[in-house]
Amino acid sequence: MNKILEVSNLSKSYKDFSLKGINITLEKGYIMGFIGPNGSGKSTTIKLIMNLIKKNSGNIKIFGLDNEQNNIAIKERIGFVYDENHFYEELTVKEMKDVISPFYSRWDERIFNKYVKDFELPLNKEIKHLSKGMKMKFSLAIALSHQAELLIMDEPTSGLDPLIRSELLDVLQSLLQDENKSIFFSTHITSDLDKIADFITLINNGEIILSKTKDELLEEHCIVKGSKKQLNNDQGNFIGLKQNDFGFEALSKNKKEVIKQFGDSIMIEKPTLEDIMVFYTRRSDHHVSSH
Amino acid sequence: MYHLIKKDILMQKRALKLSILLIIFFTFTLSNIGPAGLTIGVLAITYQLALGASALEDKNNSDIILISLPIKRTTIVLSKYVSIYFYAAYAILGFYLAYLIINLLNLRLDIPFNFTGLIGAIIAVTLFCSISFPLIFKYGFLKAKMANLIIFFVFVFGGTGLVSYLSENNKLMLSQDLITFLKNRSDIEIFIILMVPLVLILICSYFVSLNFYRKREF
Repeated sequence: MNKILEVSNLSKSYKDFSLKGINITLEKGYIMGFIGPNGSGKSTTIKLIMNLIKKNSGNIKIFGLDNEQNNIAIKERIGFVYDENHFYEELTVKEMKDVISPFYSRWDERIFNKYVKDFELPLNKEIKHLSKGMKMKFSLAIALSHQAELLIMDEPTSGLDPLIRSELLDVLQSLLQDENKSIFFSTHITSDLDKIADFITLINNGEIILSKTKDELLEEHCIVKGSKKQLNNDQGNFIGLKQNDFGFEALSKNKKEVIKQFGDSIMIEKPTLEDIMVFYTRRSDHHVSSH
Repeated sequence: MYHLIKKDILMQKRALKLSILLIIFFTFTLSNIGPAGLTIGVLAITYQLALGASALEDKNNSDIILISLPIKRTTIVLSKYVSIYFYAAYAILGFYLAYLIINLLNLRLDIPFNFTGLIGAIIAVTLFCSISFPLIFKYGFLKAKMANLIIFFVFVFGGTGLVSYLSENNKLMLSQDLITFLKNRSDIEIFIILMVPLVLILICSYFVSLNFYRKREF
């Protein structure tokens, strides 16, 4: 069984937003970056995976098990880090750990103490007096101390300074040396994923726009830059287009065709994940569908 | 379950200290109204602690953590119900200590610490939580706050009002029959007679709460 997470035809409707039958598959030993703009459905998907909300239809299988029927068995094997602190702020770090640890049958105090040392967590400080970075580190220490096979992270880096973000990413990278661990990491800060992600899934407006390996994604897309004069009516090769007084910038999935169309007069660059996300999801009149 | 109750107690360190002051305050102010004083005192302390725990839970939106941990929703709901008796025991112990100290010092205070007051306290606490908890499990503490406050005052004033109404109008057949019936029973018998419907109410309340909590989204 290599599929750690398998989401199929998952739907959830709210008054003003709906998740429209999404499909996601994450294999064992990989990090999947789940990207999309704010309000695109990332948190809703994670809440459904974690059973915090009820789905309307579809299936979620984790470790090959249905996530509703095997809720407890699955949660034993999951570590989670959320974007905000939901721990009890009135408790100290140690008290909170003492409350949580008995619920995990595979809790390893040694690993927790190692992270406490590495992260310099103040055990006797109330959680409300910790900085945002420290709260996230505490959350991560809890998530990593019970031999979780899947880490679910909902925007763990939002609001953190670059130093702590980089520290977190280093920890995640070192974790993946263990081939049994997988990470599902949602973020709108795509630069976090440049270093660590194996797969990228892009969601927008409750729909999965694409899901493939990061290398494939960066390889098959290109950024095209040129002057406005060069921009003719045929924009079929562009996924998204930005124009200003000086020229245009576009994302394309068809490098060869673009070169054929424009010749050497245009500049072709490698895109970043941010470019890909922005061009695929921008709410602009200049958006050109790739389909 | 033990760890969830411990968590509720730990996060209310300040409230527990405050409740000691409340126990002292109630010992002096409610000492002249007989056993009802003990009932009201225990109910007030339990109310403060049971709802205080829910308030802190709501403030941190910590249900998200509990649901994300390998904890059954039945355990979460049950631990809340069991915790009220821990709070009630704490309050009773507090009043008992106050009673002992006052007796030891021979102070001229008639502290109402007796079996009737204790039964009253357990009944009041059970009924109160049986009504309040389903609302909290459905809507969360903040949204259920006003309704719970109304319930609390209806309980305190309505309960004492009903007792005084019944005792003032003891010519009423019902109250007379009731009084005669109860007079002929021992405290233990009364306790058992009252416990059966009470336990039924508590069980119903638990299942309603559990049903609400299972459907609740975070």
